[in-house]
Amino acid sequence: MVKSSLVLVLSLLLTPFPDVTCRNTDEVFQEQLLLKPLPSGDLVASFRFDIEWHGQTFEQRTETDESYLRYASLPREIVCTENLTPWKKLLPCDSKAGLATLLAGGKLFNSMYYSLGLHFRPVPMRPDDAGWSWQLTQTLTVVFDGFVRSKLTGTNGWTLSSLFGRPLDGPCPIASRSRLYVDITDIEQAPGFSLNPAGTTVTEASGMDRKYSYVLYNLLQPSTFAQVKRLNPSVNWDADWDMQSQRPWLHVERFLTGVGLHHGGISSLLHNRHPNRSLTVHHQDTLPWFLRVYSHTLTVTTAGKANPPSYVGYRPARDRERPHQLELLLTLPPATITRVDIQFERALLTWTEYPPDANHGVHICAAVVTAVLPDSDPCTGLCSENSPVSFYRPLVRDTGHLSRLYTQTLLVSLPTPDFSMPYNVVCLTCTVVAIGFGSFHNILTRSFRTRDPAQASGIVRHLANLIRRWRGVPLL
Amino acid sequence: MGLLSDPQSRERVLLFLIRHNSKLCILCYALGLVWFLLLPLPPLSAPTYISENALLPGLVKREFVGGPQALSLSREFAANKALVGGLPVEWLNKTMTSLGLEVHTQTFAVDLPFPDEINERYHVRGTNVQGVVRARRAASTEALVLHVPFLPEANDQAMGLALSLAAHFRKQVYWAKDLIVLVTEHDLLGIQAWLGAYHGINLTSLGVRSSELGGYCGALQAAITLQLSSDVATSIDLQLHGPNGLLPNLDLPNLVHHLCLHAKVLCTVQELLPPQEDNAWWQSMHIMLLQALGQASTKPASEHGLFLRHRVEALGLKAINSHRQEKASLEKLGRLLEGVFRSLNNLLERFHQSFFFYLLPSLQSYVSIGNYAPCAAAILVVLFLCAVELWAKLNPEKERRTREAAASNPASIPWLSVIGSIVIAHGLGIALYLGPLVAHQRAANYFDLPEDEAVSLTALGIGVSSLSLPHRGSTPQGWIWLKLFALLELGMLLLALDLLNFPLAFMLAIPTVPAAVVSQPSHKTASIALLLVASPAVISLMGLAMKTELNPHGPTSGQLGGFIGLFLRWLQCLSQSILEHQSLGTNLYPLFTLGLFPCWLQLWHVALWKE
Repeated sequence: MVKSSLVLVLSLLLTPFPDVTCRNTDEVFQEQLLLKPLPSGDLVASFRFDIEWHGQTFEQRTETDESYLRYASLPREIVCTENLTPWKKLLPCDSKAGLATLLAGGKLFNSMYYSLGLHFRPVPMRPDDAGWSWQLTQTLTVVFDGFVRSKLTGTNGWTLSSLFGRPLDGPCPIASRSRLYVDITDIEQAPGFSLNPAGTTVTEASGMDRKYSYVLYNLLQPSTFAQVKRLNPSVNWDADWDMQSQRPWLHVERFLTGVGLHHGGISSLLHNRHPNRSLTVHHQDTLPWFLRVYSHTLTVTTAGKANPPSYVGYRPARDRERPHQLELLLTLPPATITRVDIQFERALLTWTEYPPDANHGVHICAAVVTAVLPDSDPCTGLCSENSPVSFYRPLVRDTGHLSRLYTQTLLVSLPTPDFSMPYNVVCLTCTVVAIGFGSFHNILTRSFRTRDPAQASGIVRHLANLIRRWRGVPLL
Repeated sequence: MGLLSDPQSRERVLLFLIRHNSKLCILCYALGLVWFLLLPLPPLSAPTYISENALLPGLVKREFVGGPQALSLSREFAANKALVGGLPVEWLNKTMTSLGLEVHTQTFAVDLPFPDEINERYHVRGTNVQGVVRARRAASTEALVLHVPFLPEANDQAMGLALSLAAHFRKQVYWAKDLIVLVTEHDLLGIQAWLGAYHGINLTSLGVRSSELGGYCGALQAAITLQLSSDVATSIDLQLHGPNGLLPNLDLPNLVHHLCLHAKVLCTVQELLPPQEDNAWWQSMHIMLLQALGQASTKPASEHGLFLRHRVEALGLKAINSHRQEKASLEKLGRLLEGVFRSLNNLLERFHQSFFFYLLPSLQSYVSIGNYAPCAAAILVVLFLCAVELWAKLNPEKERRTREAAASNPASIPWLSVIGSIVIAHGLGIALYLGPLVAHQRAANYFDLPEDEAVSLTALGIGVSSLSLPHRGSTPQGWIWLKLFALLELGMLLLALDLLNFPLAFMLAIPTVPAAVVSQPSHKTASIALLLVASPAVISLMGLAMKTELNPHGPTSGQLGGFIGLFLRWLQCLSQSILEHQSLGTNLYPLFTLGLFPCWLQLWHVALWKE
């Protein structure tokens, strides 16, 4: 699992995707929660809320107009209740009913990983209808630490209330769809596995050899709440069971290289773990202008040999105006590690440009690695858009699904002046250097000799004496 | 500055300097020495304090209760170590995983330029194991390192304590930085390989082949290297300096000292007790001299040192078990380390508030760079005063006044002999730098010597034979030009060194400055005697003798006493310094051979100049 940082990405794409599934207009609000154990023993919970409404009609375009494409990211954003509360208020039921009642800060923020998403875009209503509507998708992914949970409680298994602090009371009243899925694909084989209460089992064959199975609780069906007042699914298995951990095919790591405050470099390691299939990935990096990137130092190597990218898009930065943009299209051979290196030099900022905590360094945005992964990828989270748990299918290709990985954000130290006494230091050193340099330059480049003015040539002496006489000083 | 550009006042300053030169020289030299001796006393050394407010030491309640677990883990580690006969990588992997850490291993291989007889290694192969506690609420942009060097005979308890601390830390939610528990093999070479791979850079001249590292945790903010080989400890010794005299930010030792005071654990530096009321001056001086000698040796005090070169503030903690009454259990030490790491976790910015250049006469007081740098500068001024005098001697007053003198002066420089001497001296410096590495193989075969002895003897041979090279002057004035050049070169070298590694510059300045000033053909005996004392070989020999004398434990058993023993150890140190320069990037050997030795050789030529 790539431990991605918290990056808030707002993408506003005014062009619809051609293969978005069309939908009836009466479906206005849908909610879904997927609980899925990870190979590491942790548990991921993915919430998804879709809200759709009629917007004003606009001209339909057939291809993307690049002038409308925007990409922005904030590398240093701590997600906390300050983001969660306004995010929850966008939901029609707020957190008063439905799946959103589970979103209590105390338990959520005690997790290993946490990410909030907000996707806003137009979707077509029907194939035969020319109308369009707006869709707002809110996603929340949280990873619970399986290790600490099993250590502290001494049990293997979980219940909904142990994860979120409370069970489910019912759906959001205005939801047209409200479902809870539990992924039991691997854990089914665990000795002593049990899941209470029982739900409908859904299976799906995806990819070549993998078959996924889920237990579905449809909150809108009265039968779900027929026997229990509150839904609290609990999963248990016997101790000492290791899940067959198959790691994701694509894995990315990014880190800083070099030492000191002058030069440096950024390296990315792209692991293709698929045993016999090469992957084509798109690597996009946005670097701030004060890292002066040398594009000639870009190297891509796979197992020690050069692996030139099939496409390099580079837009250099302009100071204080726009960042560097580097796009690479790479082919990763099967079962290899590809290394992308680029060198930079740190620029000096003016002293008002430094952030208040200048010695902390500046955060550099995550690189984005996009790839079409085979369906057999043991993907974490909700990225398997092909599965039945996913109720719309954007950007699905015939051979796999589109996956986007965010690398680590980086912390780069910049050469920082001593802000404790900037005026004293700057003024003093400037003065000393100016005085010292001027006089030393003078002494070193000129030769000084005493010269008796009386020995000056006749005409000059006469001139000088004229002036001296007029001023009343002794003659030469 | 008008004083200098006005020819008449310049003349006056010059005349004053020439007239009182010897008095001024002696005054400056004495001032430097006395200043240094006064450094441990209050106005020059100030009480230490924690400058970085974000550290907030001692504010949290410490909860570590893993003492018994630490003990059992260290026993288990020792048993597995004996079983495998080296670093039990498998066991470490399994244990760290079961404690909930993310484990990565790195294999590395280094080939040394010649066999290291002291540590008995040549082609080094090793493995480093790294266990990561990921901070839950942070994005892996910053990390702290708890480093445990693997030692074949010791350090089991450090491993147990580090593992049980990691198990405790794994359950906590307060982490803002990742924590790396790092186990390295082959002391400095292992940590060097790990740091090189982590930062994607090789700072040495040796090729280090290492496997791809995983589990990057962002910028390293601080590192603690732990050495603990007993179940209880009576004191914690702080090991400060890294290669080339680098020191950690003063806040880091202060932090550990502060927490030790809280925990009522004795904390020392240079393995000496804190200075007592009576005889405080000598005890502080003793501690300070040991630090200075350590820094001047350019060799890191412990494995933590290499972190410093990567701008990671690091400290070596060595637990000592002596006969004192108050013993600290593993649990108590664990709580101490918990406090240290939680304070480091509080850091908002990297360490920058406190001093990076300092001398510690004790843990309660420090001497800042502003207070100690002038003593070396005062001594080095002597070289420049002397150079001014020589310059004046070359340009007599009456010639300076006339226009023709300036034009006629360059012609009077005996170019051939002076430049020849300078080139020969620097060429020999380069030969001395490269010679031992190039020729040791042949020397070892020819004389049937162990290779490291061959290296030292080659260096010694080149050094001694270079003394006999021709130094015949053609003109009586030639030596003045040569001496002028040598004085300026030496002065600039030592002044630059003063800013980087003060103790080394100061210790070199004390013997070389008088020798450089005195050396001239007319006082042949005195200059030769002084120059021999100030020769790089004798300086390093004296440094070694001083270190042995000041060492709190006395000479290590099994070493020969007396001058022969000292000389043999010096030969060993010579080959070690070449090896360390190659494998770790310490710069004592290049400094001596490429910088100091040519200057000294030029002065030697001056002393033997035939008029």
